[in-house]
Amino acid sequence: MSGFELNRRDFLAGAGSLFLSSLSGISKARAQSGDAIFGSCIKRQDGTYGAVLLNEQFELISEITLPNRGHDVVFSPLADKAIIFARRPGNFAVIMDLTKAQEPQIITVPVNRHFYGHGTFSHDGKLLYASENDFEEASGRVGIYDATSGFNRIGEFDSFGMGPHETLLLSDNKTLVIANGGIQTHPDYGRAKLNIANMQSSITFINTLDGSLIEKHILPNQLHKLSLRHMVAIEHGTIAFGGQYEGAKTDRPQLIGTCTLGEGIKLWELNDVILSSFANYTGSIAISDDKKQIAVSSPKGGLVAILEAKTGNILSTRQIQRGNGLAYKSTQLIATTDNGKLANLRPQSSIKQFDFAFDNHLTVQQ
Amino acid sequence: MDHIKRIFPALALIIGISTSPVFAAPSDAQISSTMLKTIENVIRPAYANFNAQTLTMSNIINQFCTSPNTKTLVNAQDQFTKVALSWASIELFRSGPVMSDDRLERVLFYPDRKSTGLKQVQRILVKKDPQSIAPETFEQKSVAVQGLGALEFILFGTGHEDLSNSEGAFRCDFANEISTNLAQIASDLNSMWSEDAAYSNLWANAGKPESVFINNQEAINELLGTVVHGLEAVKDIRIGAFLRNESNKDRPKSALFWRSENTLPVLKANLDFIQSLLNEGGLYSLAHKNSHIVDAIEFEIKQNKSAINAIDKPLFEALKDEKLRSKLCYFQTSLKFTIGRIDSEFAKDLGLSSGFSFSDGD
Repeated sequence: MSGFELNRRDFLAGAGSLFLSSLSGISKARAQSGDAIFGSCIKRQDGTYGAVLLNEQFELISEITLPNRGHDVVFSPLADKAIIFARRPGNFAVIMDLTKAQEPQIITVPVNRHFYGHGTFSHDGKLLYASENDFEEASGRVGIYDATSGFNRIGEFDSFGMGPHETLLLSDNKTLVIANGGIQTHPDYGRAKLNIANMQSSITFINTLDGSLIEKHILPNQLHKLSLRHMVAIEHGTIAFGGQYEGAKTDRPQLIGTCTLGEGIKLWELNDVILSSFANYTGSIAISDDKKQIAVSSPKGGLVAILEAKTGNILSTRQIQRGNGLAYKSTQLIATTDNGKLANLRPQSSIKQFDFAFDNHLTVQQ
Repeated sequence: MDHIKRIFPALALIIGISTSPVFAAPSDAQISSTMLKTIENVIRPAYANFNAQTLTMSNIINQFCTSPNTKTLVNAQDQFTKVALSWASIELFRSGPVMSDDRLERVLFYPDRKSTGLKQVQRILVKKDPQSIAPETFEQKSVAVQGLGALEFILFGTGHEDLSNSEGAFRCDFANEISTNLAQIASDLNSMWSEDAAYSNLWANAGKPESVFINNQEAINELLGTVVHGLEAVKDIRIGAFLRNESNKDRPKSALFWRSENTLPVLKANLDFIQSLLNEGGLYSLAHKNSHIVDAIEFEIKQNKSAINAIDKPLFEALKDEKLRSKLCYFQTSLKFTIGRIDSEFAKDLGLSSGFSFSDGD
């Protein structure tokens, strides 16, 4: 039994008084089983926002209320914390300590910054990197937070692009990859996209030791309206991404591809039928533990496609209306929908209906 | 429900968790009919009017540049207002050909936080390089110098008085080129939505090989999205641009068309467009029979309109008048209620359980 598992069990046992007391009908024993934990932001029927943690049996083990709409849940590699980021242009992140029964901690970004909904931990769990917007300068930033000291913001560096979204740390624990969506926003104008005519998305590789740019890769000019948002790491130096197209609906650009250090961006060539089913939009992307399969969702198209990670060949597709969140537990693919369904798609063995809507992403801590 | 069963065969076995009632989604035929009505009753008339107004403006400015004087300048300015209002009656419709070839931004680049467009226009006016306004390359120039924002500055901004005499010849040529460019874009949009063109059919009928929308859910999302995001744009981008929490922090010079005093008339035209989508476009006809949602939305829009219509002075004066400014604040707040009604309640009525805009990703 690893320390990792012990930490999680400590949380499940210790957090009982705070979290479990509010959950009727949930077996305490099952919550304490030490299984994988899933995290997602939610919207309740009364219009309020929150975040939930679910166990492997898809039972609710924790639910908190958020000040506003959240986006992604990020687990610490030490399994002791879950971070819930505000959706842009929100300025808060909520830290749940999974080892103690205590109120969640809220941190905020400095003035003139907001979060973009995503972040990632260093492999030792000591630092948290968060994608942020320096909106007065229309410049992407990566905020650095000290997880060992109350998540104080200890610095930042340039994301070398506009609208940084998902961030990943490569296996060298040094190279941060950022999907810069390329879209300028400013809180004065809500969520309005201010630069569609000349937007330019990019994937940047950044050295976290000094914040220097290692490489920056952009799409060809005819695809400048493709906003690269979400990523998974396939192997060291290579990520797979999914994009959202901001151009005409009648265009059918490729949406999914890879970016490799030293090589650049390659788009996977999906056929027209599959591509049409995506409706020019990918929502979430997930990779199986064995790194052989990648799943990509399109809530707008009602589709989840499973692709071979090495080649981008389509292995299978599933129609899931309003499905967005995706996470692999080993090779089992779990999907969530914005009408409250959570389903195990591989094998299709269980579906559960909740009385809240799942937000865009589903994260798993194993 | 059928489609849900197809996707989740085990759904019938799902634990009975109480959920608020969700109405059945409109039928495919109802949605197609609404899409068609939207084209016939809202989109085509609006683009036809925009086309007619820009063509008239092009002729007027052309004439004005041939014989510039104070009277013809006023004619050009008046026609600018007509064009601005005709655009306001369709600009929130962010669907179809207007989204290709940067047409939307070429007609109007706004907001422009750093005044990039204004600086570019001023640079062109100072340099007076004929190449910068040459017809053959003009549509490749920055979108910020091609459209209504640039034209408003030329006709109403600092130095516009020169237009009435020979000093303003280059400035007038610039205006002429913009109005020609706008007329061309408007003509293209009008043609592409015409009965003879194939696009309308592809837009109205989802799920066919060449259709714009892969299914009717995407189609209805597009329509409802136009309403919700349109109202959000009015609230956040148009009003939010100049109205701050404290009056001494207002930024009237960030408002759209403040020079021509068209800020408030444009807001009214925007609201009329939204209402026409709901009424003449047929979105209301999709509401559940026994639902009161149509009355509820109309009530909110009535509040919106009474607030904005009560402001009987141009923006600069209204912001200095405490009573009128409070009307503007109320107008902005009241839009939130309208958005809420549509985003949550109307969406639910149309079978979209968790509220329409929630399905917007990020």
